[in-house]
Amino acid sequence: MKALKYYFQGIKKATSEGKLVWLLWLVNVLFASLIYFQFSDYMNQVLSRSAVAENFLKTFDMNTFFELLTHNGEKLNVIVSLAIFLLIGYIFVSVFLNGGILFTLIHPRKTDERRRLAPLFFEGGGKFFGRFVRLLIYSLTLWLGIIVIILILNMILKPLTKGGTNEVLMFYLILIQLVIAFLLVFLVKMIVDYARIKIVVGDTRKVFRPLFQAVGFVFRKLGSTLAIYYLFLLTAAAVFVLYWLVQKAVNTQALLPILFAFLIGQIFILSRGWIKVGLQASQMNFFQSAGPPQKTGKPVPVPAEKNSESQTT
Amino acid sequence: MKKFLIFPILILVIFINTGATSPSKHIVDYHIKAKLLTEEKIVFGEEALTWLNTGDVPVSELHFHLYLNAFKNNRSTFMRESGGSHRGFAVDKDRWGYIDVSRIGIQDGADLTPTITYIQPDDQNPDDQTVMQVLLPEPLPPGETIILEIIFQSKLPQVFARSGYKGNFFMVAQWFPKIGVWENGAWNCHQYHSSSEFYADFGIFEVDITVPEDFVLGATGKRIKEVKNSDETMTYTHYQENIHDFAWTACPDFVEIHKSFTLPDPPVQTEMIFLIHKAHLKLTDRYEESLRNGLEFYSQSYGAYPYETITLVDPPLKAMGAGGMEYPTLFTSMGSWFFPKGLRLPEMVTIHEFGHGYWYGMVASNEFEEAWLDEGINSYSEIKAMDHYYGKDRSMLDLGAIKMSDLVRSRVSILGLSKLDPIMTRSWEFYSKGSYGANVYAKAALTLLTLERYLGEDVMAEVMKTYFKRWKFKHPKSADFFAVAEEVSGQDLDWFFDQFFKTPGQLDYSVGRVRSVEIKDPQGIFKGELVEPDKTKDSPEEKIYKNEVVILRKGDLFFPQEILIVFENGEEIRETWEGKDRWKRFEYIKPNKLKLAEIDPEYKIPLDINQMNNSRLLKPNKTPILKLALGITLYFQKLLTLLPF
Ligand SMILES: [Zn+2]
Repeated sequence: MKALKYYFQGIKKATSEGKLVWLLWLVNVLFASLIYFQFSDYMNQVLSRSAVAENFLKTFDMNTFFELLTHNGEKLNVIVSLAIFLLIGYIFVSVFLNGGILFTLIHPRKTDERRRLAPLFFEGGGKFFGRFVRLLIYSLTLWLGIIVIILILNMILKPLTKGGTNEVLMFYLILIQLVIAFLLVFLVKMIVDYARIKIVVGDTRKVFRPLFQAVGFVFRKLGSTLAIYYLFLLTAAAVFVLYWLVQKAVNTQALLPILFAFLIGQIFILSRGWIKVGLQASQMNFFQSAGPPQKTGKPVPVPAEKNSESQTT
Repeated sequence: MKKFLIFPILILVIFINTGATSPSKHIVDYHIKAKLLTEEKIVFGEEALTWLNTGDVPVSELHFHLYLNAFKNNRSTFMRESGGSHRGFAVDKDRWGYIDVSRIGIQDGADLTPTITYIQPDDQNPDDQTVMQVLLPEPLPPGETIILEIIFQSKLPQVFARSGYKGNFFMVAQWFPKIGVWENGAWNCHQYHSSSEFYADFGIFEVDITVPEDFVLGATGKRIKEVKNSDETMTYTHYQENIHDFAWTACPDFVEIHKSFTLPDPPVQTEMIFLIHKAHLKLTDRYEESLRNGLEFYSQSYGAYPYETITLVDPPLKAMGAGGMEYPTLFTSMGSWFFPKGLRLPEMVTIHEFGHGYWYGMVASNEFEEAWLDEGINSYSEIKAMDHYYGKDRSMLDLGAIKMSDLVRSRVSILGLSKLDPIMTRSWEFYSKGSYGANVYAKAALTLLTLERYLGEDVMAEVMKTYFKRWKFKHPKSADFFAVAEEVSGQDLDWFFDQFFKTPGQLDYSVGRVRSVEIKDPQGIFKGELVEPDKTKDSPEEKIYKNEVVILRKGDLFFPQEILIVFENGEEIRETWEGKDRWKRFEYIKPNKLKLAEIDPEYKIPLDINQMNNSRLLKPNKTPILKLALGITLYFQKLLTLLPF
């Protein structure tokens, strides 16, 4: 029940920090727009004057898709390379965004002099960028740990399938391993989240120790940390299902429905930012009320829950 | 009363069925006793082979295929060519296979064992022992038979290419010393290559197979006897005439299911035997439905299925290297417990491998030298059958929004790989395995589909029926197929066959240009006088356009083309062009602009390797492009939000 309280606080905070959510969306759109321009330029060149283009309005035309790969694959390779490059770039931007989000969340903007979002956000992003990059590097050991665990699990489970003759069992074992892998990924994400919160709240330059402490914190309060995390995961899943149902209902065979479907997609992307901010706010509140007493750190943070209350009154 | 009548009618049907086929000349008569040692992965064999010299000259040496020797070491021709991998399954270093002939002799006569040598007619590779030669003490005159007694031991490799074992599954194929084909005064007995299949003479096979009693056995032909032995083994005897090879499989995990198949027209009565691995029982209905479809389609399209049995073998997942392979009256399919219904691989493989019963089993061309006559004609038949039973747009894949036909699957495989070799290339002389596959299977199939659309479906159906009827239980060559096509259609088709089968060229026509230019009123100096444009007629209705369409032949091959030209007002014009020149211009003076020019508007020419350029709109169609671009963008946006960092 405690988790529910923090969950709702996080949701409320994310809703009140609308500009922050819009900012996350904007960064996302900026990155994706490069793909849009490249791809639509390419398609206009190779397909827009062909009658087969029309097929894509109704279905995914595999024949044309494979022809594109064969006859016009080089340009497509360039776009794929660009996408990979952007994904890697986005990891670093994401590190910056994390700093900005947490720094913004920790500052009660209504009572602070620096009321505007942008300066606060970019100060936070810049300030914590170096530390979060280091954190990212250290956290690779945790990601590696997941791989090791899955490999060991695989070694243990493999003999059960009797050389692959029991395919039903094999299928479910693969499924179980996937579920475990996802659970571990979520766990590591959560640990790294708390490590970031610890760094921001304590304004410490050290990175390894907060990561270590975050591991301790998460396991000490495993029930609540997991509950908060999975409430948000559930929310994300629910939003996705809703989005999926709506977009499925749109028959994208003409210009307006196509634009409408894209608009719905953007609302979905916005919701992802909203959930991200909500989760961070919720975890920060929880950390601040449940974590060990703060050492020296400036500025002294006002608990975010009070902050969000002050905003709504 | 009715019941009473059915039995004699059935007998009659079977009699007509098997009796009406022009049975093959029995050149070979094999009697083999085989015993499988499951621990050692060895088959002990005693073979009595009666061979008839059907040639015009005496024979003084005999050539035999010892196919399993391809897996004897890493320097065999097969291994060198495949680099130790076949159909994606790498060979396990310690699990080699071979055939050891310990004795070969003439019945009640000379021991030929000391004369054994290994020859390499294709590549002179001294490490290849897939062809054995023995010398006869005196030449065998034409029309005479010789009876040979051969004792051999076949060590099965781990399943890698077609035959072998995996766990307790055994696929025993190409496992006995098999005599080559004596034709035109010489032996046609090629080495086992990575990209080639088989060639042998028709005859009789009677094989006793002894396996542990808990094993389920499946084999070519009809089971005529089974005996329980005192050493916890069973001996099964299988017999079949009018075939040219014999394969068998054994595994305790098979579930054996028998079903009967009958067809009134043409009359077919056969027993379907399914050996389904217990992990795949879920697929039983899919296998049965597709085999029924295959039997029906091939019987009705080409000729009645004449044998009394057809056995479908479903290997375990780990022995997929044995899957998707044909033998007389027995074939292996391919499947897995987690194949969704919309992934029609088990159906496609079943129909394809069953179909080989026609284009390899009965019409037994030389697969070493002209593999397309089997794989190409069979892929053509398979595409038609798949389209017929599972839907023209989704016969291969039907997974929600993702749909693909078997035809498109074939087109995909020729797009990049089919331009380096003619279809008529000897199997081991293709540029690569990829080129072999693309040409012999897909390109040949699409070429035949293109021919079908040129001749018309009815004429082509008659071509195929005639070819089957005339050449079953024989060894036709490409020229024989071409001759039948010309005879039935009454057309000279050399231009088609010479281009499409004997050159590596590609077929690609495109709409090069579409243009609509307004024709202005006369303006300037005419006959010494200045003429001004008529400013009074300015309404668009009075405008006249010069509409121009240029069609290009981009590929080396030519084929007659149909062109559809559509104007803005919906008016349509159809043109034809013999397609020989490199380009052709069409012009129309009309009060309307062009909308679209399209070659092959009914998609009759699946061999055209670029269908995107087969049409050209005057004004680009931006809406689908927008849909695709926004769709990709949204996918990317979602991906960004999923990064776990
Ligand atoms: Zn085949």
